[in-house]
Amino acid sequence: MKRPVAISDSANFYVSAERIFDPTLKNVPVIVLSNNDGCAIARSDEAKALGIKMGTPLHHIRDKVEDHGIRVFSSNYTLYGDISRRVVEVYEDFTPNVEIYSIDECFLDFVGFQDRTAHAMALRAAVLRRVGVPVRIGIAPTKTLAKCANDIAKKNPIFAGVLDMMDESLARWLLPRVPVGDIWGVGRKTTGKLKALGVYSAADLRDLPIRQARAVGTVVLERIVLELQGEACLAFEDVVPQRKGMAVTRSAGTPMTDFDTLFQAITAHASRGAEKLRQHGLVAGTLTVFFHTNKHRPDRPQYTASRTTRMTPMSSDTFDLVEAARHCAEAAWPKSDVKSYGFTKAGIMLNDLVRFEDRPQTLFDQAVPKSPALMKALDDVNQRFGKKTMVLACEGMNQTWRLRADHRSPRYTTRMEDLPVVR
Amino acid sequence: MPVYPIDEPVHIPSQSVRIVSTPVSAGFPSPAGDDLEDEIDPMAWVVRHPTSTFWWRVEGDCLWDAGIRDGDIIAVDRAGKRRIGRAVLAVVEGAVTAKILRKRGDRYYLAPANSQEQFPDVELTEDSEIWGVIAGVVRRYDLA
Repeated sequence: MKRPVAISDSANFYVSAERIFDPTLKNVPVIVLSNNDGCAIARSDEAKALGIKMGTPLHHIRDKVEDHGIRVFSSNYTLYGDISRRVVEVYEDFTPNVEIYSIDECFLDFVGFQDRTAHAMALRAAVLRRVGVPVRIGIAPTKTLAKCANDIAKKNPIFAGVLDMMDESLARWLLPRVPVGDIWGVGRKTTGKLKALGVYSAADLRDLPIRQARAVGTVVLERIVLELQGEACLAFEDVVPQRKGMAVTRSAGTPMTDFDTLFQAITAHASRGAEKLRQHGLVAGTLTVFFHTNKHRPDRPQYTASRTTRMTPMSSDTFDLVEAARHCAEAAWPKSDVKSYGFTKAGIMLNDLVRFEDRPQTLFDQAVPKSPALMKALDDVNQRFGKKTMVLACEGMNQTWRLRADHRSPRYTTRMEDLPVVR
Repeated sequence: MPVYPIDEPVHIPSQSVRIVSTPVSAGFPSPAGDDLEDEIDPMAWVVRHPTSTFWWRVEGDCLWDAGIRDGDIIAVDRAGKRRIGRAVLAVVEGAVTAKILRKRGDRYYLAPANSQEQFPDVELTEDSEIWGVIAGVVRRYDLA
């Protein structure tokens, strides 16, 4: 019994989200930049047609931006996150099971629908009407094949954004046309190895003997081969597995040269980490602080540091985490030539996460009975009055380490002062 | 099997132990306890489809007669039915505008609703698009 699974994704999702509120972006080249306004991470079709590649640094394309009037945006994750949530809500009206794979991709359980193509078309129309972003949908018996179908639908307008590949004869006809490097989970290195063996298309890979696949790319490639043959190896995960670790890391707007500035950034990251832990009802057992200089400037003095400490007791309290982060940062701070380093990235990692109720309690833990209430108050204030309304003072007031986001669009859907205006 | 004698329990002097901190009311239970309801939420009443409703701020008075003023905040539902006579948000020549949807003959128009000032009707063409239907309006007044 083959169980149909669909993957729905939005091409150029960030650009599509920007276009909802700004109609002047329609039919013109638009790009969205990565954190700190570094490189292009989303491009409208018009920008792609101008030859702007994924990951191109902004300073390489200044001329093109000028000549063609390309509209440039800093990434506005507040907006994209809200739009993504709304898209998922529409999916939930069309299938009982949704697996969120990324901000713009979801696997949808398509078991039990009579006319899958019609159902997918209706879903596509609903997302476009209700939220305003276009999506493409691929349907197949396995996730890997569904990804292929989605890709084909994306590249060939003839499918009108929906391709149902449950029919084996259709898959047989289409797979020779999918380059092996485009398959989900096949990296560049593996692609090279496969081409050396004469495996160029998805169909070639599907017909590769299993043993050979395992020899080339371990059990991962073996699973991809089976998936291409229509045997589902990747389960539908409608329940997100519990996080095992999390990281909060950012590039600095301007390089950080003194401990106080670095510690401001680390305090902010540790506070955010603590907030995320509490959101998921978790506590952390270890905390790692890391920071380093700009690796792309080998002409400047280089320094990379990382320190880890155990959290005893395990905690999600902002004060505990910032305190631990301070010890780590102090231990990792360079002991000599301090003035010569410019740190461009800092972050924290939290590991050994367990649910708050399951945390080990030692006999001699000093009970801090007010901590949960204080943290709840902190989270409530920040939720009600906006992020970062109440922070630890060591985050600093004059935050030079903050990201550059010179071209960010308004946070249309989450801030009163950013509401879109109709005249 | 060896047997160890137990002399006396171990004492840790400075450690205090909290037993319970839940307050227990000693008087009568509230007679309203069984009849509590959620507070009314007019926003939820205005926003019938949260997924497809977005808030916009209005500039200008071209929908004055429809009760929408300069500075008002309006809820716009992208899933609302586009019916003749309804206030809608439309995109015309790259600009977003709030108007009443009208039909004359077999042509559709975007008409203002303001008897004091003259705003022109705009014909709805192939290139224009109805963004959504106005679901409600929110306004507040000074208290200070």
